Amino acid sequence: MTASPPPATVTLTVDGHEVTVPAGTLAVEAARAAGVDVPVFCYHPKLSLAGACRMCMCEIGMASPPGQPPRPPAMMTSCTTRVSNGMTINTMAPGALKAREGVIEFLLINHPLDCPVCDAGGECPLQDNSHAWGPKESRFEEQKRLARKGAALSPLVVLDQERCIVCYRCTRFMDEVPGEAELSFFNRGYTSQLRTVGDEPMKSRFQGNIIDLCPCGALTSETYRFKARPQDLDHADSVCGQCPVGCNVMLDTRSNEVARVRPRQNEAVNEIWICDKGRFAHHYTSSPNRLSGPWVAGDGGELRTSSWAEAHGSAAVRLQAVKEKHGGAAIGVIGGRNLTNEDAYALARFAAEVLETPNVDFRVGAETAVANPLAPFGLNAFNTTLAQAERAGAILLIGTDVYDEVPVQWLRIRKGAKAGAKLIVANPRATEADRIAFQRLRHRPGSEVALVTGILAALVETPPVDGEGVARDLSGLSDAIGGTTVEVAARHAGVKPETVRAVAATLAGAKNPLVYAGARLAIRHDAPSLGTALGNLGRALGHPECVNFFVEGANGRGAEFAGLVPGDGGVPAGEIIARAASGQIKALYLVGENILATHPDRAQALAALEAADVVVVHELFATETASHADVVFPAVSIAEKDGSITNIEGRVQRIYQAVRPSPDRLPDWRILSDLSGVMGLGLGYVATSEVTRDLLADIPAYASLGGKLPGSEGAITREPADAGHSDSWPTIAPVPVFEPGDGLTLVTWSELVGNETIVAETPELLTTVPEAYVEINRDDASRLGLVDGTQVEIHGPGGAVERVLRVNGRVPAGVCFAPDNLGSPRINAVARHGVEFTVVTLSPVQEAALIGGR
Amino acid sequence: MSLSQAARDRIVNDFIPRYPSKRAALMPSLWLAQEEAGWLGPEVFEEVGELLDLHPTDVASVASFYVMFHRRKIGDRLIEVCENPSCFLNGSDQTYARICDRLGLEAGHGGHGMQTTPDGKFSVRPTECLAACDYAPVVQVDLRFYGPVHEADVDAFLANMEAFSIQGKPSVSMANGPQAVPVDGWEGHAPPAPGSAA
Ligand code: SF4
Ligand code: SF4
Ligand code: FES
Ligand code: FES
Repeated sequence: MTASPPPATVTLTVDGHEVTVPAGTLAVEAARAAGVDVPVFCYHPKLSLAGACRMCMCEIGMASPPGQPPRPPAMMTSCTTRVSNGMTINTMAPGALKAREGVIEFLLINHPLDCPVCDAGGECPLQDNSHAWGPKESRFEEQKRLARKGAALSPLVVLDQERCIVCYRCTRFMDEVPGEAELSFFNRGYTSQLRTVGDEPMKSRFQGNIIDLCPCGALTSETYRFKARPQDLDHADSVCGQCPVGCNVMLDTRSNEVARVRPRQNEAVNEIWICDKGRFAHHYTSSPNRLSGPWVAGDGGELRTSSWAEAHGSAAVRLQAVKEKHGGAAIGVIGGRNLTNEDAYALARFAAEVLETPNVDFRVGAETAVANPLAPFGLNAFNTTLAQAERAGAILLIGTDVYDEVPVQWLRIRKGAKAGAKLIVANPRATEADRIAFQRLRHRPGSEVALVTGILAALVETPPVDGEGVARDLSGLSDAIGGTTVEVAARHAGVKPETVRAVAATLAGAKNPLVYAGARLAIRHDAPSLGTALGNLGRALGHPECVNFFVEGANGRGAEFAGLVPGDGGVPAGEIIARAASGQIKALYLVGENILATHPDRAQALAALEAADVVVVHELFATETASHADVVFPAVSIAEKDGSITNIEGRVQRIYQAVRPSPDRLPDWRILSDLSGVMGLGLGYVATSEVTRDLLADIPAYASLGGKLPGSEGAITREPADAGHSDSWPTIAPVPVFEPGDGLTLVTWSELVGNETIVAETPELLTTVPEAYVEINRDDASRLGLVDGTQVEIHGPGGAVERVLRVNGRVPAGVCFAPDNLGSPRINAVARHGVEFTVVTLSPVQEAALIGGR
Repeated sequence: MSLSQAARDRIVNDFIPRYPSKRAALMPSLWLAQEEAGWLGPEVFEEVGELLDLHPTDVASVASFYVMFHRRKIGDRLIEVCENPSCFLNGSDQTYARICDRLGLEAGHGGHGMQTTPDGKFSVRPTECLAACDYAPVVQVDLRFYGPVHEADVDAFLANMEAFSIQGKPSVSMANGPQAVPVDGWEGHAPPAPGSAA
């Protein structure tokens, strides 16, 4: 016998029709390709094969080897059988129909048939398959099995064990997709029970997806339970407004309120997944706590409701006064990262044409005016597609916990890692990705430039070799790093030189390297240096476009493209607030930004709000920042908007209005247009489509769209390259020397779900938010005599806050970690703006003080 | 109750290297943990999970699949009475009831439900075929089986189990050959007498 290469395609017949499909296709998919839907329960194209339910039985015949008698066809599960040449699949064979009928009869024996009170009713594969394939009568007269009903797997997901048909979709998902196998079957057979160990509530931020996957009503959503029947819902295609991934969602509404959020398939973005923040945090859109009607400050400074006309008039007069007296640059505009492109564009025009200020920035806390750290390389800040992570050979994650920052993209990164991508995680603190990392770099806080310079030095030592075995010429790079050695760089970064060399070798040896840098690195004062270092890294690896910076906000990229970044002579957001606090900037125009919670220095933000002559705010809720405003405009939420947003990779996606807003709230673009009219320089917009038309014509990144918003897949857009970029190796600033002080260096980060205003409107989600904590290393804890789980006070240059202490191995000695979106006041109350490293001390909170009451 | 250092070492140095994946070392690891403590507590699921890179839910789920892994503390001695056909036809249900009665437990406790005496000395439960049907009704105590133990034997059995030990007893059919199986018309597959040529 001679071995011949396996054929690329296979030809077979399905119910008498011939089809040709790629070799390795499953029979169930081949049938689908032939236009025949075989009923399934456990099979799911995104999950591993289980063959658990036997619903997909077909009569399948295999071609017999030449010269041998034909083999009789047999009953097989089409979801686990791969096709072969000459195979015959008979989906409607009498045996197959009988088998299906039998499966349904068995499933229904153990099923409570409580469809009338089941949320899945009307959109339930078990109902549908029973209806289509099941016996029309039941022979079962005995007592039904009893099991737990309405059991909380977490505050978000409810289990009805009686309804469960044990298809293992949910457990496979948890294990395979987010890699959090916290849900599994206990016992076996008839007594199988879906549980977590110790019945602990599930913690994954992706658990909502199991509700969608469950082919019956066994898993339902706590927040949607008993809220609507599917036929009562209206639907609008939208995009999630909670993070820059831009997952495609469907907003299901009832009585003009969002009843639930479901993922919409877009293989280029979220496949079919969304995270729990995107799924559950939607109740804010219909909250009675929303602002309704504008507010204007009276003479005494107290806010009172007003008419739109009065609010516009008041804001116009106050802003005009500042502009005339101090010039437009005395007005600082912050916001735009969570708005639509239409809003962002209107805001950018409003700032430039009406306020005439260059001090505009959507990047709250930004310390550099440079919006795109990779511009010197002729690159965008993000240069790949999200889907590319699946095919990468190595992925370097630096300064990001992707689980929190780009949740659904983390699923894609995991998929890539499972397919062989070597994951390298560089972070001062252990992140979720560390669990599957190939290499980890636990570097000193703030030492990213040193770290990347070290990797470059290692590449200069051992240059990458191309396909022909020729080593790349990196002599220019050697000059760019100014002779820094791996040893020196590694020492500054606090890591071992061998590890740096090993990481460099991994990247150099990878076919498609990919670098993801966290959004916070892109706004730090040293972002230009890091951009240069990473840009050089991309070049050295022979893949200049492999480097990508994340961005904060659901439409951070759109805001960047729209020009909500410092103009000529303008200062970044962090500096705008610093200048407002010191009286140089006289007016603040804040669009959807609660700076008291998000500016890294709370005291300074407060001083800025108090010192500013004028503060105008657009908000959904009466935030703490809004209470310091002179004029507050009530804006509409994403569910009430039409328009487009641009995700992290530059993909422009369309959103459609799901909820009709009350007349007491307006879209941001409309508020700005009306206000500009009062100020005598009208933008003149009255319909979203007008803004869309102008922004598509005006914004250079969108030139490729040809004046039209893209269809359902969205379209990738890029800013045109800077004309000035060169192909030489830009010089990296010398590696900064890090001098650790006595205290602990504070590292902050945002948890995916914190106690933020919009999360608080979904109490079920809020209960999953941990108590505000601070994390330190075991060594530091024993040195300081601090005990895990106790209350401690964190003292920093800006003040002190109390937190519960977590002692673990996630941070190295000398570092303390506290999320910045938990607790009140936020951790920004201890920090000072402009201090490079916030060094804090921890002390126990005395019991006596607790008893004494505060 | 946690894994001893010795158990951890054995899992890491002996069990894990035996298999292509760490998860495959789960069964011996759980066995070892139960050998040490007599049962598997929640800490064990955490600790074994940590050693094998598994979620504790996964570990507990596997343990729950097997009735011989105990996820609750059991008595010092575990008495199991076979309830499968051979033993049942020989009255194992009465044996079971009598054992329960003598130990102050409730008989008729169905399924694999386990009962433990208040003093923690004994746990009793019915079990599946122990593959010693020729000694029916068979009782197993801590993985060692005894039989036959009829209802009337229970008191003596509880007083002195060793007298009922199957160990060392020749198997009826194996040792005595055809004559020990006086079944009319049965021509069967009697094993060759000891010493005869194969
Ligand atoms: S809960 Fe639903 S998804 Fe999970 S095994 Fe049961 S039926 Fe399948
Ligand atoms: S990953 Fe981001 S965009 Fe996707 S659902 Fe979650 S918050 Fe929304
Ligand atoms: S769908 Fe094929 S066995 Fe479940
Ligand atoms: S039936 Fe009891 S040992 Fe086989």
